[in-house]
Amino acid sequence: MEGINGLIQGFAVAATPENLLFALLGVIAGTFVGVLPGIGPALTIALLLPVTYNMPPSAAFILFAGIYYGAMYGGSTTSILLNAPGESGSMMTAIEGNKMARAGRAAAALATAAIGSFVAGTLATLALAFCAPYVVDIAIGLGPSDYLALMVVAFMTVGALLGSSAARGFASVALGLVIGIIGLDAQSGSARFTFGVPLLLDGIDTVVLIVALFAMGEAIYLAAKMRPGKPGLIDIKGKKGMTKQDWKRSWPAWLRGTAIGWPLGAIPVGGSEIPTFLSYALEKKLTKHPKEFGKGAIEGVAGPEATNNANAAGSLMPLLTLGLPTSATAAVILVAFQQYGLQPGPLLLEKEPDLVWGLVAALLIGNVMLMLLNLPLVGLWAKVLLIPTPYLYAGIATFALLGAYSINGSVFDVYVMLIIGILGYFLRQYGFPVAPLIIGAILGPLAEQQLRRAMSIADGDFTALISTPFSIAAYAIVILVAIVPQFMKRWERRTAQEVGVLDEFEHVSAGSK
Amino acid sequence: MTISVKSRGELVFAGLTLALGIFILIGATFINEPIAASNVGPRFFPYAIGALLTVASAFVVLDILRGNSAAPEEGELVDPSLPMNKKRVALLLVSILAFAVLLEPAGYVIACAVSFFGIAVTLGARLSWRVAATSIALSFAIYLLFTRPLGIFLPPGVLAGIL
Repeated sequence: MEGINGLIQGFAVAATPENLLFALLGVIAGTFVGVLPGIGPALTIALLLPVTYNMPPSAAFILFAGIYYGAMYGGSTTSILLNAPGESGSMMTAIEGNKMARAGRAAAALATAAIGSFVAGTLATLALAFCAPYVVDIAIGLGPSDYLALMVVAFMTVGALLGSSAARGFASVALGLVIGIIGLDAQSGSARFTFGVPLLLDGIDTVVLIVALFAMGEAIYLAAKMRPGKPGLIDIKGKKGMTKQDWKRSWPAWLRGTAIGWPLGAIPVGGSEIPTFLSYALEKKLTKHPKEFGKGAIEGVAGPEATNNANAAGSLMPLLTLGLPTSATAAVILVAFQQYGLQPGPLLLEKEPDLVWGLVAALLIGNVMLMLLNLPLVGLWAKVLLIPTPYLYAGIATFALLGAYSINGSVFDVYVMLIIGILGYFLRQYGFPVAPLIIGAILGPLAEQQLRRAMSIADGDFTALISTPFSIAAYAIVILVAIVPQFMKRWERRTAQEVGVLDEFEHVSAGSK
Repeated sequence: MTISVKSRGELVFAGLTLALGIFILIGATFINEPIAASNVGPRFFPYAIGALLTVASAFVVLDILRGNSAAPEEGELVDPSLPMNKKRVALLLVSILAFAVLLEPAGYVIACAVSFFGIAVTLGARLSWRVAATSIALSFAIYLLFTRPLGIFLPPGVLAGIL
């Protein structure tokens, strides 16, 4: 099978001493930032983009692969020990995980999250390797109108599924699209919304945009609404790990979580909230210990955490085979490819097999490294949470400023970052999700390009946009997406009420990043 | 129909995005369209985006008027129910502005030290020699690491002679 050969080839790329070192650096950096409250993999990769300018692409992507999975591991530590999920996907882990930690079972909760992440991450990455060549075979036959349809699906799903309401999600997508069209239109040479500012002709750099929205927006939000006092961290010293009983209860939950998370990531549908929520609800329904739910049931940690990781691996599928990012992190990885003059899509696997398979192999290697590193060292990572908040955020802001300047060596970008950072503050304050904006800004110009290609092939006939079976199917999905989530949200709310986590659920819908 | 104080800011923000949507729709008509334009010129996409932003924002405004205010993003370090600490936000923005203003004339090391110091103090670090020392050490370390092994240009500014 193509997947197996590909993986062997990938291991040959990734398993050089130098690249293993980059993978290790990546998982350490990723875990570090994953543990830090408020910043995630998207911001970290964006901040590292200027640093990797002079690196060979394969090394850079191996580094990013480590960060991607490392940040997921780190996030579960924070959600369990602090009840402070760093991203919406680990919200469900926090519910039971933090209760377990409070009941003196922190070590077991951390272990089931770490091993569950390993199991799910490994299975999901293998599934990615096996399925990607088949998806590429289909994708290679797609024309511009099909791509445009896929992108419309992506805009619709991230808009409808993320954030506290579909209207706010679509407004975020549209704001991103607006930011994406600023600058010189490559095809016609017309300046669009540059207001006569020559520095805007190149458009707003996506790295500046991402760093501004995440790092600056967060810093301003923190300054505006800082909670007095220190967060209550749970000590994990001398606590017992997983018992035989814990293993028996965790296994099926890990596997079920993988089965839910992967497919929902692999189809171009945004967000890890719905899959993790489904996993939590399922575990609660199937458990033989219903009384423990709400007081720290281990299945409630194992399932959602596995789902979250499988989902992250699955979301690499649309990115690598179609060039379609469905999360903020995937969008940043897309930008990283563009930095090297590569465009993810069906041709990528053919043109740059070493790069793609090296990335997939690095994910598997990183996953092993993470488990070996994190099971014994989790206490050390928890200490990262003891860095005083002012120093931590001043440091993050310092790197954000550095990144904004060094990406083009221009002070103008620093001012742009300040303005977009203020926008990021208001988005947080008023419940507008940030991820759809980023996806809109990055995918918008690509969508316009496909639209123009399709129209010039069809000589201006708009019906050509819905002439292929694939595009018709995609638009049918768009219509479904416009209707179904309203039911999904209502159904989720009802289930949330049933299983008694309505409060937490409302946080999830409000806190999507 | 009453608008609570809490959702007034939200309404203003949604109103601004609505205004931006209309602005894009109007602004798109002024985009230079080349005479030999292809089927889809540079105006088409802005029209579509402007329409999307206008419609989505209008729905948000309606939603707020109906009393459905969105919950602000929760966080372990932030309490969304607190009123905005204007002094802190102002100090933070000044610290970032100071970085931008100082960067080229004074050099990276000074700009970074000033902004780190400002941001750390704004976010609650006690004024002490420790913050000052950390700011200076960090800015030197970053400058040396980025310019030497990583080969990324940062302006040396007034310290050009000694760095």
